Amino acid sequence: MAEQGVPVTLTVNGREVRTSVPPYLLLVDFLRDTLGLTGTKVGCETGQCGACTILVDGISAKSCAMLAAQADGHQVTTVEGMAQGSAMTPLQAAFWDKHAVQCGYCTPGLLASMTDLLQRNPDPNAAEIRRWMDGNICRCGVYQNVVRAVRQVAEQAPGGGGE
Amino acid sequence: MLAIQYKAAQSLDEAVTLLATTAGARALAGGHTLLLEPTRSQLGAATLVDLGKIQGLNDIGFTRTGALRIGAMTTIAALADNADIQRDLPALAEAASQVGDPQVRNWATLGGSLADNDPESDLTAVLLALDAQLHLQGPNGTRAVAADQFITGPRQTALTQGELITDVRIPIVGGGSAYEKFKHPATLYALCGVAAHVSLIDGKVGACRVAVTGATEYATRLTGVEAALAGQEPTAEAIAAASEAASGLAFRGDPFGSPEYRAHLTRVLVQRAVTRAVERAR
Ligand SMILES: Cc1cc2nc3c(=O)[nH]c(=O)nc-3n(C[C@H](O)[C@H](O)[C@H](O)COP(=O)(O)OP(=O)(O)OC[C@H]3O[C@@H](n4cnc5c(N)ncnc54)[C@H](O)[C@@H]3O)c2cc1C
Ligand code: FES
Ligand code: FES
Repeated sequence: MAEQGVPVTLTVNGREVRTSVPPYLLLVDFLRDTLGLTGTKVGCETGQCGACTILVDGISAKSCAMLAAQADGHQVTTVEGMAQGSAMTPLQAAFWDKHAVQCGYCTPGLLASMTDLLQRNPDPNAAEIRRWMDGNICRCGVYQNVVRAVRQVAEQAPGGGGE
Repeated sequence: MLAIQYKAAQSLDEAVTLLATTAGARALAGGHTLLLEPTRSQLGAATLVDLGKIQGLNDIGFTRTGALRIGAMTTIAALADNADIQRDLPALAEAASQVGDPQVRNWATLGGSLADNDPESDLTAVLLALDAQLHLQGPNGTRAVAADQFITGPRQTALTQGELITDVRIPIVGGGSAYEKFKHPATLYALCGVAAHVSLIDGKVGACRVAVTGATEYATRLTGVEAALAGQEPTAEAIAAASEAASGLAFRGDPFGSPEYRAHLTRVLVQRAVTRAVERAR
């Protein structure tokens, strides 16, 4: 069947992308295979593992559950768009400090997910952080250290009260 | 998957026309059923008509008759976070806040969840208990269908070819409501979920609606429980006795839970949901 491209204009990590995408192309495959942004991972394709989690207009999203065509007009942020040069975001630095990374496969997704949480609630308690991790599966089991990392960000934020 | 086509509708009328005139067309809302396996592989050469660019489909507001009108493209997260829903329809806010995980709630929609009518959907049971009306638009115009008539069987609804859910209207009638879910820790879906709405007259149960999801083949009113509660003083004993009336249903069995287990969960969650609904009605 002749392929009908869908024209899209979106912003990826602050850069405008104007192109035409195949109608069936998933956003995660567009990011990885078309744009070469392989930080975002593919795990299950059933919407359960969260390895593909990115930010769309600042809201965390599973990019295996969205077409590239649906991203038209939206702002997409992947793990590649988080650090400024070599300066990590406070969340990335906290993942480093607290060893919230083992093999790293789940990390880009967890960073997107926890960025969303901290935007909504700059001082989440451990139970709220755990609950927000429902959508991210980590085979290495870094969950406890993710809680510590997010708590560190909350405590170090200006005016962040901590416990 | 490789053959699907995509069209972004700019208006409701355009979406209805596209769905009516394009062979094998399917509406695309949050995509959290449609675009994920196993559904994705079964799409074949379907044309997906994206509703995401249509303005006004995610509004929440009161109608002149005092019902809450919720647009079909409202995300589950927006349901959970809405102050009017939290105050007037706490069962809906409670159910929405327990759907899947944060990312699912961020993108999956009310309309998609109802059209999909998954046997484990949380929202179907709540809309049954809250006596919601679904407003539909299709090639033959618009119509309103009560939640009781909308859910017709397992994954079956009253939607006809090319028909869309445009919004859901829920009467605000006082009383109290609550939702109780027993979540499977891996799938995040309901092994059993029970929604209840109760109003009290002179301390006795007046109108009362109770519905179950996850435990049966599709979300179902528990009319036996409702009848057993009507006119009773809602003591713990009366509520426990009424929950026994749920025992006669055909319960699902699968590797996650036997029919007996789901029957047990239903009785327990009926008691919890009704008890909390009564507290809110006082
Ligand atoms: C990991 C995971 C966990 C989940 N956990 C839960 C849970 O705990 N509880 C729960 O209830 N659900 C759960 N879900 C399901 C989730 O709520 C679904 O995404 C939702 O049921 C479908 O909504 P959608 O907007 O994504 O619809 P889509 O996938 O876009 O569409 C689903 C179906 O509805 C049709 N449709 C969409 N919108 C309309 C409309 N306005 N009018 C007519 N037809 C329409 C589509 O054509 C399609 O057939 C989960 C999903 C995932 C991926
Ligand atoms: S690949 Fe998207 S959730 Fe697993
Ligand atoms: S660090 Fe290995 S999967 Fe999470």
